[in-house]
Amino acid sequence: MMRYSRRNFLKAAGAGITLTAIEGESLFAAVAPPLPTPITKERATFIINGKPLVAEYEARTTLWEVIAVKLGLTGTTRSCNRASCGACSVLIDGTPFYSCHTLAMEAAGKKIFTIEGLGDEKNLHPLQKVGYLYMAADCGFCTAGWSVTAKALLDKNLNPSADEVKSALAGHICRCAAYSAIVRTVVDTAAVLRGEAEII
Amino acid sequence: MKKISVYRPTTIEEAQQMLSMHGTDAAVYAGGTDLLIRLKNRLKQAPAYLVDIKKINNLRYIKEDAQGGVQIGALTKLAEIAESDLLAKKYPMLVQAVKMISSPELRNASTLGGDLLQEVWCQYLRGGYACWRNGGYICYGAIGDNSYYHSAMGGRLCYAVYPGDAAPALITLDAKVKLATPSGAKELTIEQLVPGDMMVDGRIQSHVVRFNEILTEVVIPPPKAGFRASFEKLRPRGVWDFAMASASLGLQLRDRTIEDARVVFGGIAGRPWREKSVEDFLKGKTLSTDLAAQAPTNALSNAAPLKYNATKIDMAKGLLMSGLEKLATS
Amino acid sequence: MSQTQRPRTPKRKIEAGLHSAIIVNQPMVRNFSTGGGHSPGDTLVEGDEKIVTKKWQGYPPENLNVVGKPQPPLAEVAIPRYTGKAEYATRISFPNMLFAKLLASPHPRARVRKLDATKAAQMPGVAYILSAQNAPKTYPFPEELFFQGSIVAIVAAETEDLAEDAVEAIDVDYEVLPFASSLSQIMSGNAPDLSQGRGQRRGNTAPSVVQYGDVEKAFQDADIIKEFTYYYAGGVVAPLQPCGSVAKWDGDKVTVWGHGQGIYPPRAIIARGLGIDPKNVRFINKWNGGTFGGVRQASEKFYPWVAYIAKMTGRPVKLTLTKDQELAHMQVKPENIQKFKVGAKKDGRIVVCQREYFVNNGERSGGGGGNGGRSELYLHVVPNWKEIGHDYRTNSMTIGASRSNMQQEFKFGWEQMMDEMAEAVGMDPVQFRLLNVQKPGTKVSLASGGPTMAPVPEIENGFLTYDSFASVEVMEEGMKAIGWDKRNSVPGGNPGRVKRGFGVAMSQHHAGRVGYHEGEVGFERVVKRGGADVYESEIELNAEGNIILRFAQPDSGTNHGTGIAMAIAEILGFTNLRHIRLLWGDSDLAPPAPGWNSGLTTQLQGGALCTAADKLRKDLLNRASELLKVDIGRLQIRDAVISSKDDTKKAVTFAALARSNEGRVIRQHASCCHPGAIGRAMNRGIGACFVEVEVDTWTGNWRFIRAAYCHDTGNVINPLLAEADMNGSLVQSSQVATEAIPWDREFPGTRHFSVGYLSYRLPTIMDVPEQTQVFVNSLEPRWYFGTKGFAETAIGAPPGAIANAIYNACGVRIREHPITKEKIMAGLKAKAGRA
Repeated sequence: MMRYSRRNFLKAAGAGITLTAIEGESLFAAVAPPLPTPITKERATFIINGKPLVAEYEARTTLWEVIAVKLGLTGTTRSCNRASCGACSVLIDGTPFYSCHTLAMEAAGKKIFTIEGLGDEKNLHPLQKVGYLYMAADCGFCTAGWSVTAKALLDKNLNPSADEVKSALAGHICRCAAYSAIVRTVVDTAAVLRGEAEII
Repeated sequence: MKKISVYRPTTIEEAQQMLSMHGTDAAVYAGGTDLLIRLKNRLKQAPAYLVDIKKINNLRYIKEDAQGGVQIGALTKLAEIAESDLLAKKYPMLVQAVKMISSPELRNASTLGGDLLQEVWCQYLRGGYACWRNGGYICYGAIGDNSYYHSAMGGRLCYAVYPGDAAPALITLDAKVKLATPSGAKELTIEQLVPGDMMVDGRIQSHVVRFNEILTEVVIPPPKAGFRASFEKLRPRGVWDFAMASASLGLQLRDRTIEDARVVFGGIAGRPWREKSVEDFLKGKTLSTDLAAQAPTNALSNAAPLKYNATKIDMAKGLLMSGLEKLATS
Repeated sequence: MSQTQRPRTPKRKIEAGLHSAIIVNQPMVRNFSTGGGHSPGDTLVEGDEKIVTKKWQGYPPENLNVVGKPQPPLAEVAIPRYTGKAEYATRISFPNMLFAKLLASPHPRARVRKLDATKAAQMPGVAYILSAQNAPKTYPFPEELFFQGSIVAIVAAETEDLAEDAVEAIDVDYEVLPFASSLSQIMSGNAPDLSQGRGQRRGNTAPSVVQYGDVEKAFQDADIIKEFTYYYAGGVVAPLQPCGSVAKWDGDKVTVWGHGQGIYPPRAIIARGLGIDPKNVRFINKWNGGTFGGVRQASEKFYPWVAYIAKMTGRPVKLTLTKDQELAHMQVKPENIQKFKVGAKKDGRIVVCQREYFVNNGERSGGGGGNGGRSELYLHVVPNWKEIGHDYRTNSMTIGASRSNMQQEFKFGWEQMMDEMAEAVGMDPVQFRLLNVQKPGTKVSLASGGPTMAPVPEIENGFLTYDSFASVEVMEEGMKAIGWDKRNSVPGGNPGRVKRGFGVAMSQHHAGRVGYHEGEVGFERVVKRGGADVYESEIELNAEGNIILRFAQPDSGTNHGTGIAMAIAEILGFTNLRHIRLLWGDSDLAPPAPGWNSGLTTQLQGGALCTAADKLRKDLLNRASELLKVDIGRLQIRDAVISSKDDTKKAVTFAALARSNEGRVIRQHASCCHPGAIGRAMNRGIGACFVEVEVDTWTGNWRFIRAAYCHDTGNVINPLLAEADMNGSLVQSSQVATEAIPWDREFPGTRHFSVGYLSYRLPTIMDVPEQTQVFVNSLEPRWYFGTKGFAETAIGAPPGAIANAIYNACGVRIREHPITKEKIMAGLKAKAGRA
């Protein structure tokens, strides 16, 4: 179905507005070979924190919804739902993405890392321990997001400078503005991971 | 999010068939960073069919060509450009500009092709108002709150600014793009690619890519000796936000003499705004901080600000001075 | 050790500690106005009604083991934030749960003429559609849609997308009504009458006037008279957690997981809304992803409907508002205009001030002179005052607490006025403020022509005292911390393209009266009067020797539970928090209390718990005395052991005392309340904010370089938490200066929030300044350990401080909020044009 007819153009032209228009071949050029049916729904396996999990979803379903709703891994929070805060970040094959802004089908079959993969209360990752001591989370709603992005940074760079941490975490809003504590947390976690510092 | 059906072609030809089949109801889907916002906001103009071109081989690369220029596949992620040693060596200004686009996570998702062809970010369009680009016959920006997302250089139907940063930077570098069309490959300059609001296939868009065409590659000519460039961007915050104004400058120098110049402003007009009067002013002059201070005098004299956005022009002039000064002092 | 082994460099220790806070301690014994010195055993007698308070409530700020030591928050509250387990309402999930989405009115003012949901109801996955037609009679939908975003229908479906599909398919015929959303609209001659019999003035016709002193004479006597007008465009807090809730029924009992700042008030709303016994409502809200005061309504007003849909469908239901819908329902900082006429003597003393204000009250009716707040008068001495107030009901969102209430939004103007007056009399802005600020020992009353008394409730008690009020110290310490001497003596006087500048502003919150706890004379009196906000609490010692604190208040990243636990640990003789546990945020587990607000949580909810701890301490000492046959006076407590001071072998543990009690627990209960309209001394401190900014005069770009944020803290309980909280306070308050509610200036009543935080820009890691927190421990003599609430002391200051600093940097004065790069650029251009 066409939503935009040439009426738009004609109306504009009729109103005496000069406008460059490109028209040419028919929009409905006949297509010989039959096309495959587009995907509207699918079922796929996601390797989440090392565990294969199966979900069924629509083509429009976001990765966040698959992880946090369909698969029940509620650690990943969604805030703005418009790629403008970073709360919902997860790693796909080691690279951070906003899961609210990634279609689930993009990540099907891939390795996904979420906050649950970082560590739980019995087995905290140094990032979580240092964060706790430094007050890197006030309300904690953004924590799951920047933590996985910080993990991705530390996997690549075990000795990041404060500026490198800032650049890497620039896509994460902390509404409580614990930013300086977050930067120190990541820098010092790297020191712990390098074996140069220990957590008291 | 609006309901969508997704095709996953493996060849350009297949993709073109799919696009042809659905006309303007379909759209190329690559990084999706712009498209998903429009789908989530349930805009009338958002497509029902997505043709995901990421399964097509050989659209994601950064490689040096025989002449010493660089070819960048349209599906190359902005993050890959930002991290490319080759590009950093040959066109540091491009890398600098790309690093200032959106946020790190979004750069991991968005592609160079998507950045060039993105929809405008006017709050009326994105908010679902029935404007020229969304099934209506009015530009709310022209008469509305137009301080940020609207043109200060006049407009035709849609007054939204062209929002991208890659395009002005690439114009400065004389880059070209390649389109795959049903009748074969087509080459355009970036200025030809994004000429501002255009009626294409019955809809208003900022670029000339037709419903059945696919942007495949950006080609940047080899850097010449003595070429110096800078990119300046002013935005509300240090990340995420679009340019309130930007200035891409490219100078071909012999010693300190400017032999040729490119001056392209972003964020102030419906297209990347190449300012030939400043280019002409600069040609033949000696690069200096004094020259930087004089340059804005001739700039943007045909500005046509709307009610709230006159300062875009002043900011653009300030960025021009700033860029020239950096080039003069570095 | 073998020779090949190299000596290892010792590992750096990672531990909790302060990063950039300065703590300034004032002496315990000072000469305050209340007389009698401030030695621990003294009593305070205050007010007409002779309220007697034992100094420090018997717990003086000396020999402290826990209070004042920086430490991370209690693990049960804080660790789940790092593991993704903190139970925000958005994280509650059940199999078989339905997802609800709103249909919101696109019009600033309208009525639903006809709503047809037939098509929507038949769409795939739709389980229930609630609208005015089928809403419960006990909790109907609004008849008139009073602002853009008002609720029209709620759809519950199998997924959010399917619910949204159905929302889109509901056919609504709106009768669009004449509206006025902005001040300029409502103040214009042709605004519609929105009063609807609520006594609201329509136009600029019936202002409220408050005055004291002889204003006219004072203007005649003044050496310098200046007039200024300031505009504030409106603000909203925008927490990251989207507003929403989950409801689930088990038989005739419903459990609701919510997002707000209280447990019992929303529980009552749900019970009333559904017409059921509150006993059948369990309300749970332990963690929040931020609330900042503004969230309350945006979640709360939907609870009964969400619970109702859950009942009708027999399935759990979750509602999550989108960010644009949330903005319509959160409390906002109101748009306002302030017009000042100020008179001062040559020496800089303000002798008279007239303020006329115009406030956009949104949907809320009321006003009547109260909305100005006048907290500025708690700050500065104004001997003659006249205020003309215009409060307008408009077609916009409801105003209210929004990371403080009537602070930034009014002080943006007030603190610029102070700066402009300082310049007019030729004084340094700090010296000018110090000259005019309220000082400790000030005892102001109506009779003495005191500044603030006429309109405020304290009049009932005759006067208001400022005792431990560090007004001078916050300024002096702030000057040191920021390096005030580097300030430009001439605004914009620095040469060059990029100019730096310094600014200052002060702040003080009006709700800061000392509460009453059970056992104090005032408490009984306030409770007897009825309608008092009584915070109840329970403290329990169990057989494991653990102390369990039960209290209602949800945590919003506030960590008030930890602060309170530290005071309680101190009262009970602990040197650490290892034995303290919290049970909070659940109406099945915690005793009743109103919600928390205004930075009073550790004072009021904490006051109840401290009083219960005091009772428990006495109870345990009695038991130990009986058991050990030692006189109470000869007993000591340390880390859960009560022993004889004379023979430490004579000892009993807390656990043993609990085990020997019936039920193997020992419980105490206590209450505390806000003084309400009954007067008591000020205990809310004062704050100041010093900032350094940089302006690029070529582009209008500005950067927030540094801030010294100074607070009269009473006695900061946990400096680590305070530092974290205040870092956030400063950044949020700065954003109040630079962002306005995204109103459309050409199409009033319309907001733009379509691209999340690109539409309403929250500060990022790239935008925040370097911060120094300055805590002045002024030791409030009326309260446990000298503590005060200080969460909202300095909070009103940053917007004015930033505006003043930009002026100092480049000579551009931004009287019209928000402060943007465009306005700086435009100002610079205008200045250049003049020059």
